[in-house]
Order: sequence, then C-alpha cells, then structure tokens
Amino acid sequence: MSANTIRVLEPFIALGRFFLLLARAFRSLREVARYWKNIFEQMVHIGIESIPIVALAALFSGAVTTVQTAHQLVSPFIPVSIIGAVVVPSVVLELGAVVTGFLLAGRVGARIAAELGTMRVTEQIDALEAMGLNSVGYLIVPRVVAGVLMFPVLYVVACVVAIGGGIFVGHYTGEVPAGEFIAGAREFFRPFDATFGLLKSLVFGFVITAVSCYKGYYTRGGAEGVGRATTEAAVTSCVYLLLADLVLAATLL
Amino acid sequence: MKYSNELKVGLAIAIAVVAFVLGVRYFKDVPLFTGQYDMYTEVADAKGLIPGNPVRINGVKVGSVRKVHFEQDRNLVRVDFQVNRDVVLPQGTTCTISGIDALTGVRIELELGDPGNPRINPGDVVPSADQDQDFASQLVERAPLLVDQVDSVLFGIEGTIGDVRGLIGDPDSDLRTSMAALRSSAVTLGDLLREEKSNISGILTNVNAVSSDLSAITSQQRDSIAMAISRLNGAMNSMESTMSSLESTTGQLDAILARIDDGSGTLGKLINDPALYNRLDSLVTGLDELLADFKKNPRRYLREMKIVDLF
Amino acid sequence: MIQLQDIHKSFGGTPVIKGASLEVREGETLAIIGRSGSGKSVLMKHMIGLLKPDSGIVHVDGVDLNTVSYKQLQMVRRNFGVLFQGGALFDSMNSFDNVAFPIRTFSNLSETEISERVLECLEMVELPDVGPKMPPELSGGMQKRVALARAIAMRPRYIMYDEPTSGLDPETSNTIDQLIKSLTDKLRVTSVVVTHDMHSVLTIADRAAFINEGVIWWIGTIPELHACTDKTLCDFVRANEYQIGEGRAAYKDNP
Repeated sequence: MSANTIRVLEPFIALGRFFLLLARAFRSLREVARYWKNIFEQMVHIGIESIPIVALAALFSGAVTTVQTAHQLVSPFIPVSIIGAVVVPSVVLELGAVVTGFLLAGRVGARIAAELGTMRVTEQIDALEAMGLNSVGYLIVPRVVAGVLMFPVLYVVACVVAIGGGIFVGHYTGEVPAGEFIAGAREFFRPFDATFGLLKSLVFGFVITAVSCYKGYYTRGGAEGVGRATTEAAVTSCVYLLLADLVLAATLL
Repeated sequence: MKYSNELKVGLAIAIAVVAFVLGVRYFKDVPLFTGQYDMYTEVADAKGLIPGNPVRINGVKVGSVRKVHFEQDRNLVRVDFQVNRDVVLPQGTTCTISGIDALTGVRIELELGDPGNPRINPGDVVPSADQDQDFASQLVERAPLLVDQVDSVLFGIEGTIGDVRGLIGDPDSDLRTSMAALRSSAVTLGDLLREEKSNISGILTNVNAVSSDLSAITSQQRDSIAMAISRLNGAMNSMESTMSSLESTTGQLDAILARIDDGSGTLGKLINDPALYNRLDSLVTGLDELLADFKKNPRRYLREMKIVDLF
Repeated sequence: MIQLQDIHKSFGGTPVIKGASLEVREGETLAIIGRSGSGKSVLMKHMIGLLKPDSGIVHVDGVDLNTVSYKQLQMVRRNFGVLFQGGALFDSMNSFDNVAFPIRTFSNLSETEISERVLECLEMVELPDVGPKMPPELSGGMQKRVALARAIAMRPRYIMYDEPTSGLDPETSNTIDQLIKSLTDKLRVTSVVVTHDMHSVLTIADRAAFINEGVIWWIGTIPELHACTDKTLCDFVRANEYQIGEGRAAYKDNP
C-alpha cells in the first residue's frame, strides 16, 4: 500500500484499531483478578478524586438552572412549583450526566491520555509487554472498568448536589420555597428519567475512558505526541460523549 | 492502610447506591422507609390523572397513583394506585378523582367506608363514586338539613326577641321616662333604615344579575362549578358552626337581659336613657318585618347568602 | 536460541527491514550495530514479539512467534529481560518497586523474599541504596542500572539491551559496559546488544551483526570485525575509531 492510500484509509484504520483494542481489553477482562489493585487505584483517581470538582460544577449548574427557570417564568398564573418540575428532570435527565461527562473528559480523559502517552513514548508499555505482562489488561482495563463503575457514582453525586443547590438558591433568593420546589418536582417526576441518566453516565464513563485510553495507548512522537494525544483525548471524548448522548436519547426515549 | 483505596471506593459506591434509591423514592413521593400496597379503581374519566398524583383521605396524602391505563374493550380507565401500609380501607370505601389539571393537580380522594367493615384486600378494586352525581347528591342532601338548622336558629332568635319585648313592656323602672328621647331618635333611625333598604335592594339586583351570569358560566365550566360547590360545602359547614355559636350567644344574651332587668350593670344604667327605648322599638318592628319575610321564603335568603359567600 | 528468517517490516509504507536473517546462539553476546535509523531496535523488538514482521519467521527456542497465541507469547517473553533505551522505569513507582514489580507480578514469593531478591539485583548493578528513590530523582546512568536490575530480576535466559550506553558520558558508558560483561559472566545468559557505540561492541560482544540498507550486511566475530575488508562496514567502524581509541584508553586506565 502506498503512503497516499494509507492516508485516505487512516480514519477506518483508526476505527478498526480502536475496536481491536476494545476487543483485546474485553478479552483481558478474564485476567481482571490480577489487576484488582489497579482497578481500585484507578477508581480512586478517576472517581473519588473527581468528587469535589463534580460537586462544585453540579452545585452551580443546579443553582443557575433554577434561577434562570425562575427568570423565564413571567406569568403569574403559573405556579412557582413548576420551577422544581423543570429543574429536577433537566438535572436528572441531562445536566447531571453531561456536566459530569464534560468535566471528566477534561480531567480524566486528559490525565489518562497523558499517562498512557508518556508510558508509550518512554517505552514503559513495551517494558510491560516485554516482561510478559498484558499491557492492555494492566493499563486499559482498570481505567475503563473504573470509569464505567465510578461515573454513575459521580452522576448521583452531581444530581444530589445540583438539585440541592437548586432548592437552596431558589429558597434563599425567594424565587421558590423549598416545599413548592419539591412538590413541583414530585408532581412530574418519572423514575425512568433517573434510570436513563444513570445509564447515560455509565455509557459516558465508558466512552471517555475508552477513547482516552486509545489516544494514549497509540501515542507517537515524543513529548509533542503526548501533548497532541492529551488534547485529542479531551476533545474526542467530548465529541463522542455528545454523539452517545444523542444516540441514547434517540433510541431509548 | 492497606485497604484504604478499597474502603474509599466501597464507601462511595455504597453511598451513591443509597442516595440513588432514596432520591428516586423521595421524588416518586413514596415514603422513604414504609411500605405500600397496591389498589386499583375503574373510572369513566381519569380527568388528566397521571402517575405520581397523590391519593388523599380527608385531604391527607396517603399514597400515589402508579399507573393510568385506558382499557379500550370496556371503554373505561383503570387506575392503579398505592396506599401506605398503615392505612386500612374498609369495605364501602369509594374514590373520586377531583381537582383541576392545570390549576391544582388532579388527585384521588378516598371516602372511607364504615370503619367496622372488613378491610378491602390489597390488590382489589376500590369502587369509584361517579363524580357529577356525587356533587349534586351532596348538595341535595345537605341543603334541607341546613334549612332546618336555620329554622331552629330563627326560632331561638324569635324567642329572644319575645323576651326583649317582654322586658320592654314591663312597666317597671326608668325605661318609661326615657321614652320621649327615644321616640325622637326613632325618626332618624327609621330614615336610616329606609335608606339601607334601598341600598339592600340595589345589592340584590346586582346579585341577581351576577347569578344569571354565573348560570351562563356554569354550563361551560363544570369543573370550576364543582370546585365552587365543594367550597360552598365548606362555607355551609362554617355557617353551621356560626349558627351554633349564635345559639350560645343568644343564651348569653338571655342572661345579660336578666341582669338588665335587675337594673344592674352598665347596660342597666344605659337603659335609663329613654331615647334608646324608642330606637329599640322601631328596630324591633323592622326586625319583625324582616323575620316574617325570612320565614315566608327562607330559601331566597339562603341562596343569596350562598352566592354572597362565594365571592 | 533465537532465529530470524527473511524478516520484512515497513512503517507507514516505508520499508525499514528488507529481508534480514539472523541467529543468536545460546550463551553468546551478539551486538547488532548500524547507523541510527537503520532498524537495529526494530530487529531486536521482533525477537520478543513487540513487533510482528510483515513477512518472515521468528523462532525463539523453536516457538514461532508469528503463529503462537498471546498467552504463549507471554510465556516466551518471561524468558527475556529487556533494558530499554531510556530505561523505561515506571515513573509511578520508586526504584525498589520497579525492580520488585516483575517478581510481585509473576511469582508467589513473600515480601521478605522479594525484598532480598530486589536488594541482590540492586547490588549487582552496584546501586544498593537507591531503593526509595523515584526514577526522576536518578541520573540517566543510574536509571539505566536500575532498569538493568529490573531486567535481571526474574533471572531471564535472554537479556536484550537497546542502546545501553547512548546518551551517557564515556565514563558511565564504561561502567555500564563492565556491568553488562560481568552480568553476562555471572548469570550465563544469552545477550543481544543493540548499539552504535563501537567501544561497547569491542568490550562486551562475542559477535557483531551490521545492519545496512535493511539487511544483515555483515556478521562475524570481533577478530573478524577487526580484519574486515567491506567498505561500508569499515567506514562505519572507522567513524567510531576516535571513540574506540578513547574507550580503550579509558578501559586500560580503569579495568
């Protein structure tokens, strides 16, 4: 194959490589017991250490959503409890998962790509392989598993904090008393929304960690390559996150 | 701290699971820790009921609607709902769907049967009381009852007034000496009364117009009328209590009059002013006329009262 | 014994190895020499299956690395210790854990036994005290020695050295060369050294293979290398002569 043909086929090659990597990761799941410690380590890095920033972002998005919804409700004939009925489903269905996702695409995605990219260009991944260790099982599986397990946890944190922030701000700015907010939220609450949000966060966790692992694992070209992989990981994660969001909404709602 | 990572992760996951389950139950309006059991009912019109709407007994929330499902072959709506475990529904319990969709939210109201009856088993049907008939029958049931009560109260008032007249007729004391002054005041009072009468008739005309407007609206707005009727019911209740307190007031008035009879107290002394007698006399005459009219057709007053109450 | 037969490999459409055949004999130290970018490291990586040839056969102890399952490939790799160019120490772990890592992963030894083995390895590379230090705290030469300690931790039968002395000053290079030589004697391993440093070659190798234009241009023992008549090889060796002279001098001063 000539260099030009390869350039044309590059996107398909990349896609194939991505899925082959996933397949290899999937096969490596059998060895999961050996990498137990790594999984917990990654769960702490990806999950626990992200709780403060996720909570902060969620607090503000919940508060802002509440204030803006209140701002948009100009008619005196609409009860203020509608604010709760708007804010809670927005948070549970979309904001909780997407805000967490975007935040972690930057925080976790970039971190994973930088870590794996550095390991790649300094031959640490080769060193692992040369020892007879499965580098995919050792490096990628724990990160993806940790993402899939911890994103729903972060999603719950985000929802609780965002709704809490919404209630708090609504109550203390006098826009909507806490009781009205909750009554409105209850009036229109559908448990499926929460299940759907949870599913979303799980998928986002997978997308972000898998894409970032792919970008990091196949880094080329020294320090500059690591930088490029890091940026690409964050950006590509966000794009695929939105795509996954759309696909899920279109298929399941 | 060999297990510190595992501990952190385990704690986070456990807390998240608990928060998720409790959060969903909280917003589903399911009590967080007590259980519920299922019931269902079948109605012709669900009136916009949706899952999550409250189920109430005497205005207290005891459960929530789980599912509303239209059954085409039988042309009726099956409503599944859940009731808190600590609430027992005896046989004879009926339910109605009330409230207006956009305004207050729709809900199921349960009317409990005789508490002595055996309970309706969980999962069984709670019969629905047809709402339109229910409101009408409530009104038909209650109105004559109220009229009777008003009647008996009026009797009490009449008796009291008789007592007053007896007191005045008593040729004792300084009452007579104050007559002359009273008579001159009576003219003023008579004028005042006449003036008021024209005012009242004006009000009545207004009310008539409003009530004809209302009947026009009624045909269009059955739901709000139903709500108005339920509020009227409340008004009637409060009127009942007002009347009973009026009765007791009458009794107290009796006692006070007895004391006035003795010529003691402030009022006794006040009665020394003969002008007051004149005023009272003409007042009594006016009151008599009013009473006679009231007795002849109490329903007119009652209706006016209702309508006035409405606003 | 490692055998490469007619290996072809290209990257992104550019052929790098064009039909290289090579045999690494049991117990010898083979140096693979050549210009930068000539594919020395690429050839070495084929021997442990880190790269798969586009065509050609790789045999390690009779096992065909092209057709073997990943599990078996892992088993084959456990016979190897590899010293990568930059050391490739895991920078999330300190030196001790780096050396202990393969032992912890692949053996059931107790922590005390692991500790003993790690100290033994660190003593072999003459750095018994660096255990608690993180890789970035070590100099380049020290990093390579710790990496060497890690490579020998599992008592491999084959040790691969990828440019063991590149980027080091001549004195440190000497130390590394000495270390490789003494390890080879002590552990009785088969070694492959990828280098362009002729001083290393002359110090530690039994045979040398010269890669040029994607093929094994010349292969022979060190005395044969001295007596060589091939122009390309002679140019390459001569370009290193100054360095060889320096190195020899250093070696004589500091045996």
